[in-house]
Amino acid sequence: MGTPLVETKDLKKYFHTPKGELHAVDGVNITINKGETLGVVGESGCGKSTLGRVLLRLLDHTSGEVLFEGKNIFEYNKKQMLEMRKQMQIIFQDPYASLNPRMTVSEIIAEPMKVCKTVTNKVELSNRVSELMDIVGLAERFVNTYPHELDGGRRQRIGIARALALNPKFIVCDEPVSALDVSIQAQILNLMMDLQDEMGLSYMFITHDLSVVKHISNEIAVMYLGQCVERAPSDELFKNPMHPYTKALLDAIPVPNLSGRGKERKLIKGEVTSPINPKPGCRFAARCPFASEKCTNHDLKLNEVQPGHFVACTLFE
Amino acid sequence: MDEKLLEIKDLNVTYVTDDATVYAVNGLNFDIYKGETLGLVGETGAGKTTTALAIMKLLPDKIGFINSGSIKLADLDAPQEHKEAKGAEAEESEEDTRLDITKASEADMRLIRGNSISMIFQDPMTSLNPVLTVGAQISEVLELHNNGEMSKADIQNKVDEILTLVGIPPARKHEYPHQFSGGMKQRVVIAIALACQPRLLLADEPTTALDVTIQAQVLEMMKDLKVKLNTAMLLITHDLGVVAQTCDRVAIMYAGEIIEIGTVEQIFEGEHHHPYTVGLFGSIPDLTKATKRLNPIDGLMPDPTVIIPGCKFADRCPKCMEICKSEKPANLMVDGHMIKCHLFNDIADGTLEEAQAQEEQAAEETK
Amino acid sequence: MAKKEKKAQVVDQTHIKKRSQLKSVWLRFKKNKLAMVGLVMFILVVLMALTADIFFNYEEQALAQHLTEKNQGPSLEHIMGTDQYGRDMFVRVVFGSRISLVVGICTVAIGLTIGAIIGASAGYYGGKIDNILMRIMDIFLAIPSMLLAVVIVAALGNGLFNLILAMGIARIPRFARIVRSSIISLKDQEFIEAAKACGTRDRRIILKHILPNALGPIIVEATLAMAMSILTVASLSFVGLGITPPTPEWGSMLSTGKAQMRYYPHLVIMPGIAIVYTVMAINLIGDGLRDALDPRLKN
Repeated sequence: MGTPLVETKDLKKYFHTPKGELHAVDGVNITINKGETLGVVGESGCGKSTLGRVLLRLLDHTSGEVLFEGKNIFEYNKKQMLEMRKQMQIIFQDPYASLNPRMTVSEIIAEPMKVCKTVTNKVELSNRVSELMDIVGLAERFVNTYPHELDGGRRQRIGIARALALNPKFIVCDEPVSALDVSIQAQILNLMMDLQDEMGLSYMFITHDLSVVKHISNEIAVMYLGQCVERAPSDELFKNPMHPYTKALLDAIPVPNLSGRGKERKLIKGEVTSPINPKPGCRFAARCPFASEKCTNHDLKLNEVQPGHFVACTLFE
Repeated sequence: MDEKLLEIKDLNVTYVTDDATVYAVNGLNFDIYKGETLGLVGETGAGKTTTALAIMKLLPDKIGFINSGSIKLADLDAPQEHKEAKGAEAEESEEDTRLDITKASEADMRLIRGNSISMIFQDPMTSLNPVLTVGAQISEVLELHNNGEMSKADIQNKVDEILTLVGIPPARKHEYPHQFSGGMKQRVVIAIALACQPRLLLADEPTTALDVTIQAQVLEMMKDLKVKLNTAMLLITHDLGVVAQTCDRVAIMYAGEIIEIGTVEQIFEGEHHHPYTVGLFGSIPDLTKATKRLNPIDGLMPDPTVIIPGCKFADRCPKCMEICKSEKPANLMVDGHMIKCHLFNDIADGTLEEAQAQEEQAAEETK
Repeated sequence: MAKKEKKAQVVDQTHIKKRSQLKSVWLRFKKNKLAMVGLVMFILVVLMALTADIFFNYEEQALAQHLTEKNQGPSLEHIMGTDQYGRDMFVRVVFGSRISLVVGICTVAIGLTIGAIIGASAGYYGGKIDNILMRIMDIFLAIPSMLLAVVIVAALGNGLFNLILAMGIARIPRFARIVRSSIISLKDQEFIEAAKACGTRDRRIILKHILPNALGPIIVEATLAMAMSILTVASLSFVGLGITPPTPEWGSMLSTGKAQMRYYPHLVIMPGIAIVYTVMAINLIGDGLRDALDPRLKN
């Protein structure tokens, strides 16, 4: 395995709400290796987006550590953090909301370089913008267009170009293809994989769609209500899912062929609740078909069941 | 199964704005049979939703127009025996009693909407009225289409019945939409749509906004209900997985045209396909295979404001020929299903129109 | 000059807009016929105000009384007629435009600048800052703006400067509210987060990413406020608190003319037309500007 680039140590992020403490991210330990991709999968409200934002320190954390190349980024002061920002970037889900509608394509791509003053010369700047547009496959003629004049796929390319502008090492991709059509989705996923090979980028790929994450990830972490319930190398997770929730997620994906038709699917009951003042024990217990008394009396830890395959479930203790 | 419920012929819909005319739906032909589920698959901007809105006659006022074609709804409310009793002698006068939605008046449409045809929208969060209780919203539909046959108590019983059907405890009918979760809200929306037991349900991406585990629950429920109520359904989606799990027949739409239509078996397992269908399947990440790269279709959908003389997919098609750029392909019957592509000019058994004519003739002969 | 000031304001709001962008805004503005009509009308008023001294003698024609010629209707010699002291109405309307324009532009400038700063800080930082600032604004809003202006003028004394200050302060809360609500709806958008992820400073985020997107409602309010200010100064003068006679001002002209409105209606009609004309020009420009500044609206 490669060397770790980003690591979290018992990372927690709680939000204060009128109803109580919302445990959006509750003790997550993940590692992202250099040049690799970690897929983070979960349903809405499981805290996956919050995790991505805390990793980039766009949100303050409650406790725990985020180590970037071995150093805790929460100890950095403002100036050091500014330097840090050049190393890590984010790509958003909604290519409509993530681009400033009043700025042209070239202005949007140039903005990070202007802010961080990495390129100050005007000619150099416009050269760099053209270069970036070329890398992400945007035709030169779009330089002066506004985002609203472009389709979703092209907008997402702008978002990627903006993220690449500062030559980051690490990019958090927050559902970058969920808003796109399948044929465009595949184009963008291929582009992201090519960029990774060429530039040695590391990704944290957040998604709710397991089928998307399989192709791009080396390792996958499954989240449920703020906690990581299973972590394994991508192939291993699909071949041998262990946690009941992972199994249910995999089962719920409608397969685009007729083999699964008519087959009774094992559906889990109920819906995701909100992690406000959660009770101790497994948070999936209420929906879990295998839940027993054991599940609710103590907090669960990720256990290494097989080399590299971690599960937090009483069935594997 | 063989009875046509809805017949769409050569439908053209345009949106006229100050800037340009958008040709949203062009020469659309398809039928929906009684009790079946037809999947309408296509990307954003293919004209799926426009088709559904045209069927409901809910195109935006003064912008969206049905330019030509017909949408005929079978007159199912007339009792079957009555029709048969009239028998042969009435045949001539009875040639086409079906209602053409494109010509129907607004008053007629009000009777049809919610009663014969109802629609489910994509976003359950915005399609419910936040200030009315769930029960009130369901009973409203019933009251609107009540011809004085049902008393207030009857309606309330019916509401309870429908809620049980979609898996919501009837006791929750006094709650407001915000007290329901996303999946539960979509169940309520479905309950409203099914309240009057419509013949046809238009479901516009009913599960796209839901999480996978919830999507699976809702789809399962819709499948059950369809069998129970014998409702035909037009399921609009971009997810081929959903189609494979729920539909009987599939229509694939591209740039306002149906480019392939057939049974699920023909589309998913058949030998011959439109190149776009092939591309669409190639773009889906396959969970069972260990491929690393995906095979997307290059390029983008053509600008809908421009009329293209040849095949609309020609620009992106890996098998594009000379003829594709100049001539529109016919609706060819290949392997028993329709493909709109020049590739199959030689092996086709004729066109869809010919096949339909034959079918009609055969039907008459048996009579 | 007044025209330049107006442009400068717009540039201020958007901070450093590039030339090319200013050009494209102008191109979009030019396409809007009504807005162009408004602009031409406005330029005419401004030219009138600027060149008045060349054509007319302020002391002689606008102030000196010629009682022999009083209350004449419009004629070739006096195209708007004469007032109750025999002064040429047209000359007085022309000189009156100076005060109206200066008051309109300056009050909006004061109200907008202070209001935008307060609203932006309240909206962007939220929490306690928001609460304190907005409660103060609420107190201001609770007092009718006219009354507020009256009180300030009464306290500070009559005079053009005090008048502008009073009306400018009265405008602040409305601008603060509008800017705050636009910012609240914009600050959680992903493109703001993207800017933060690059380490953009708050000031730049507000000026470059948020305010340009909030311009629409601000400009509408600014033009409405400018029109309102002209009307307010007219009404303050009308009740005797604004500009005092004999200084020519549209409101005070209306006020003095009202006594003889029944016999000599041109005394109120002429300054009335001047007010309506200017207010309309400003509103048309405002509508055009709002559309031109939004690249999402074509044509």
